[in-house]
Amino acid sequence: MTPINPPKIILLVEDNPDDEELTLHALKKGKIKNDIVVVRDGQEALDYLFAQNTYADRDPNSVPQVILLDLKLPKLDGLEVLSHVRANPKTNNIPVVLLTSSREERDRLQAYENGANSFVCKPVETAEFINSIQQLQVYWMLINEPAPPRTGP
Amino acid sequence: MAVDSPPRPMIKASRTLAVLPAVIGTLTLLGWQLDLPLLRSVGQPVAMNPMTAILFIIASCGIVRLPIGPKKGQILLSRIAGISVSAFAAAKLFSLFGLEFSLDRMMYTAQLSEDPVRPNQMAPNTAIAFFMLGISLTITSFQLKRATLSQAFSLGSAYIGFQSLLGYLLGTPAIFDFASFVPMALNTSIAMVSASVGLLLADPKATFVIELTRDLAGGILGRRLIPVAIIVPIGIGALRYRGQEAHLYSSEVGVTLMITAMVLTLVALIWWAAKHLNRYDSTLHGIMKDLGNLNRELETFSYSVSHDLRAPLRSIAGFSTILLEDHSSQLSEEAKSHLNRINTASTRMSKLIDGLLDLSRLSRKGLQVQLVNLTRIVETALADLRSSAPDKQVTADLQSDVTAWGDPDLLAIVVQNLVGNAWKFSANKTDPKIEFGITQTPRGPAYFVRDNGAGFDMQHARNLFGPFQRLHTAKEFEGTGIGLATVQRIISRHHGSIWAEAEPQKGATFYFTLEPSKSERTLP
Repeated sequence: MTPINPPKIILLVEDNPDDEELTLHALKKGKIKNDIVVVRDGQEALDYLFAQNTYADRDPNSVPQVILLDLKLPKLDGLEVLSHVRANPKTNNIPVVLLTSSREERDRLQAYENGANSFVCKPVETAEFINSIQQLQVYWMLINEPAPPRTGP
Repeated sequence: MAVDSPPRPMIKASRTLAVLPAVIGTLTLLGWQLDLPLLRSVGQPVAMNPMTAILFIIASCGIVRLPIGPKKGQILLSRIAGISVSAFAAAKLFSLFGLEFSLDRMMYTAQLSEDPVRPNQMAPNTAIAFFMLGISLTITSFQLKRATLSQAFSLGSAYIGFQSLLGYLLGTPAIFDFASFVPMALNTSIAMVSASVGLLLADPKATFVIELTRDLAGGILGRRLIPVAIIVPIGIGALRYRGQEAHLYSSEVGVTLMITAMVLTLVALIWWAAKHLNRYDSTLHGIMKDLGNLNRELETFSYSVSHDLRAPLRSIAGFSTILLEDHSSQLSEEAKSHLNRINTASTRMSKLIDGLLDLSRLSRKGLQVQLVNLTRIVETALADLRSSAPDKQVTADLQSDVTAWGDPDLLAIVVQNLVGNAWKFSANKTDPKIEFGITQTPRGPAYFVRDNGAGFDMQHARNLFGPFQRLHTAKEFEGTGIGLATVQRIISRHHGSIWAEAEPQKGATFYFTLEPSKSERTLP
């Protein structure tokens, strides 16, 4: 039995509706068409990833190709989400890009120490912002090869 | 605390103590002149020698005329006094070994020989004390860098005087009777202690005294303990001696009583000092903890500024851009112009936030002090500016290899800001020129960055270094107004200062000094 090619998904974890709108705007204007799932806080992100609570009906084996994760989030913050993702064998290979307004060295250091794959500071300048988002999209959706699924126990 | 200027009470005490020996000396001379024994021997068997009285008057003048603090002195008088006192004392000491030199003998021959067994003359310990006092005064008045030696000598003469004085206080003549010579008179010993302590207090570099005058825990404690350290042993000693004289106890019992009393007093004093220091220290710890909390709060604040202030700006800029790009057809030209203004303003605010954050980050960064080649940083900054505006012809006149001790990253920010300003404000000139180097100023050697650009009115110069202060409108020259505030913060972290000279339309010169302490230097 050949597995059906799952749709390529970007999981966007963002609590600020304006930033969500701008990011979606940039992604939709990008060269690649892909599905985008938006969750608004850290707990919802984990619910989606582990197909639990409101996302219990979801196929738990379909994982996003990349997670765009904000640092400051309600309930669970970005770093906590990151550690949960890294701690679970189902999700620990998903690339996580921290997409944040912060430029603090402390945040950067903690992000990488918790296993972030990339740290991107959202530019205030619109053109730059859109450009960054679209570059991320091209890189993680097209150029980067995701980890293959584990075969057998 | 500046070591060069002793505090006012110290100067006052020094003057008072230094005048006293002159008064005593003059009274003694009067006593010899008018033949009044009470004036020259204050009721004691031994009188102050006339020569001694003269030396006290000279020494007093010398000490009082020392320039200390804000008061101007006559250094020449002090020097002459210092040299003559030590010379006379030395001569007197030589005379003890047969070399005769006696001015006093010429003046008061008859009176001096009243006691046929021991004719009045300067006691040898008085001569030694005068010699020390004179040397100390000489060292101080010539401002030789021998403060420790000078203090040792004045402490020495104070000690000799004090020992004699103690003898009188306890009524034990044996202590102050030196071999077969005449002992030091009571008035002599008082004047000697007074002159020595006066001189000690007059020396602005006298670390022995300075430590006690500080308003720090040590100074306060020292000031309270030293009088006790002098008075208590005298009191205990006197009690022991008197008790023995009155045959209340034997010499052995006297010694044990004295030791017990001293031990008790010392332990009590140390306990008291420990309590005092503990209280002081716990206050200090509390303050340090508060400071740490404040710092953490500040960090949290700038953290949230960095994160939370940017997000709304991104919305403002983002949605106005989307309007311009995607809904352009529905917008009038006026609406588009307004949206552009919104965009520009949000970009500017973003730069302001970045500038403020950099400014607050500066205070948290530790200094990495090394020898930095400032000229090279200026060259790099100019090269960057040239590549951003290749058409502009700017003459650069840089002194080669100007170096400074400082943090290379922070000094680069200073240079980039100053050179960037010079570049910006000379942009409208036909022949812009930027100079950099080190020069002599009334405030000492200073680094400078000069341009021949727009300059400014010196009346507004005091606003120059405050955050968000601008001397030009945004239309004339763009800028956030944070650059010079940042520069000043960096300079003050290097214990230096920065100031400017300018004239409208003729250009501006920024001077700065850098004096990081040697302990901050990190060896390569």
